[in-house]
Amino acid sequence: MTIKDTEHQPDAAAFRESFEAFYTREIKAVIGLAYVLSGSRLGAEDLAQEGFLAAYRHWDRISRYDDPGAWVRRVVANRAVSGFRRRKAEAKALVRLRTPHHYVPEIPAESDALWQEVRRLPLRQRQAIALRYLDSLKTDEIAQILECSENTVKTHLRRGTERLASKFTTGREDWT
Amino acid sequence: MTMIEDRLEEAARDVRQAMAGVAARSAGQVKARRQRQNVVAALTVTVVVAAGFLAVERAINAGSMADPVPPPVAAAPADDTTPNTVEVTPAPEKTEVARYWAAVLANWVDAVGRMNTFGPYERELGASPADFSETGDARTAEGALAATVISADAALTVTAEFHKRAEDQDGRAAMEAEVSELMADDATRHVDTIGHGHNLDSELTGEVELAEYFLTEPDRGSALMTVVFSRGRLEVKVDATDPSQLLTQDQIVGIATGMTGTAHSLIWDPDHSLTFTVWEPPEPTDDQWVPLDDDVSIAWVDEGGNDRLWVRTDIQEPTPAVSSDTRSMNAYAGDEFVVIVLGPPIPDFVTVIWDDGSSESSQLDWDTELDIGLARFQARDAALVSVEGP
Repeated sequence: MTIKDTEHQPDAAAFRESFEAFYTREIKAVIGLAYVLSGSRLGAEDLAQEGFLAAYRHWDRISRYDDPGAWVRRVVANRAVSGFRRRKAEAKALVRLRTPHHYVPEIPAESDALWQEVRRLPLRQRQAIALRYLDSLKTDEIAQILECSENTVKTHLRRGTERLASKFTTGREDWT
Repeated sequence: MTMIEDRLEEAARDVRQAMAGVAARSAGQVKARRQRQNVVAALTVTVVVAAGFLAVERAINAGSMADPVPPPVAAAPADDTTPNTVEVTPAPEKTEVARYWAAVLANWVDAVGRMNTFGPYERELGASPADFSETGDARTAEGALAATVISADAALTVTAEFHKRAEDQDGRAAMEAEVSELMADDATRHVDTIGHGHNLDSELTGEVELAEYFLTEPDRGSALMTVVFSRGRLEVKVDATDPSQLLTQDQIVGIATGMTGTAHSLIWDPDHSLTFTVWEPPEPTDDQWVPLDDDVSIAWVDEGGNDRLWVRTDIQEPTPAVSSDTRSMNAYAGDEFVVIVLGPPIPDFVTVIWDDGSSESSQLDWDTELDIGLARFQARDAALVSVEGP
C-alpha cells in the first residue's frame, strides 16, 4: 500500500469531516462485502463498522493512503471470514438492537445461494471473488488489499470460479 | 465471460441493490423520528464497537459549537447511598451534537436495561433468574453486568483481566491458553468463557473496561461511550453529553432504573463525561432474615425511612427488591419457583406466565403474622415473563 506524502496534519474539525466523508462514501459497499463474506445479515453492519472504526483510530495515517477504502476492505475481508468475529459482531448487534433484527435486507434466493457457495471456498478464493465481483476491483487492486501478487489473485479467481462452476453444473448448462 | 462469471455479476448486483436499500431505510428512520420528537428522540444510530480508547475531544470537537443551549435545570444533590438520586453538574457549554448523543445514550441504556429477561443466553452468561425482575429488568449489578458481558469484547476483557490478577501461575497459564484459543476462532468456547468471566467478576477489585462503543452518524457527529466494571459497580461513561438538557430528572431515574432495577447515581461532570453507576443497596444482616419455611427467607432493610424487601433461598443469594415500593418478589428455591406477596391486601391467587406462552395459577398461603403470601410453582426451563394477581 503506497502512502501519499501530504505533509498535512488535519485539525480536529478537518479530521472528522474528512473521515465522515470517507465513511459516507464507502459504508454501503463495505457492508455488502462483510455480508457476502460472513453470510450474516445481522452482523454485517457491525463487521463493516469495526473496519471503519479501525480506520478512524488511525485516520491521520490511513487518510494519507492512496486508497483508504482498500485498507478498510482488507480489515473487513479478514474479519468477516472469521467465525469468531462473525459471532461477536452478531452478539454486539443483538446488544444494540435488543431483539434480533436484520439490518441487511434479503437478496434473491438464487443469488444468496451462490454467495453461500462462495463462502464455502477456501479463504483467499472467497475474498478475491467477493472483491472482484462485488466491488468490481481489478486484479492489481485486489492484490493490494489481500497483500499478494497479481498472479496469485488470478489463480485464486480462476480456481474459485472453477469450483463454483462445478457446484452449479446442472447438466443442462455449461457454467464454465 | 463464462456463465458462472455472469451469475456472480448478477449476484453482486443484487447485493449492491440491497445495500442501497439499507442506506435509504436508515436515513428515512432518522428523518421521521426527528420530525416527531426533535433531537430528544431515540434516533436510529450506528454503533461501532471499539477495541480501544479514543480521546473524548477528538470525537466531538468538530461538532457544531455554534448552538449553545440554556443552562441545565438544577437537580437534587448526588448521594451514592440514596436511591433514585441524581446529580447534574451545570455544564459550561453544550452543543447540538452533545444533545443528540445524550439522547442516543439514553436509548442505548434503556434498550440494554430492557433486554435482560432471563433466558438461555443469560444463563450461558452465568446470570441467574434472581438478577432480573418480573418485568425483565436487570435488578442487580449482576444482571446489569450480564447484559454488558454479552459483548464478546467485554468477555475477553473481563477474562483477560482475571488472568492478569490470578495468583496461581498454573491457573493463569491455563486461562491465557484459553484466551489464545478464543482468539483462534473458537466461538463455542468463547461463550463458555463469557459465563466463566462473569462468575469471577466479584474477584475483580479494580476497574475493568468491559466494552467501548463509538457512536457515529455521518451527518450528526460522533461520541464515545465506555462501559466499565469498577469496584462492584457498572459504570457507563459518555463523552461530551449533558443529559440535563434533554432529560428530566424523572426520565433519568427511569432510564437508570430500567437498566439496573435498583438504585443508581448519574453524574455529569465538567470533563464532559456522564457516569452512570449501579447502586447496590446494603444487604440484610443475619438477624434481619425471617424464615418463611425451610428454604425461603425474607428481610426488610431500612434505607432511610423506606424498607426494601430482600429474599434468599437455599439456592439463591440474597436478592433485593427493585425498589422499596416493591410488593412482590419471586425466587428459585430447590426445584421450585416461589412467589412472595406482601400484604395487605393479599390476593387469593397469583398467575405465573412463562415465555413459552403457558401460564399457571396457584393459591397463596398466608402468613397472617407477617402479612405475607407465598405461592410455589414447579420451576420451568422457560423464562419467566410476569407474575400477575387475580
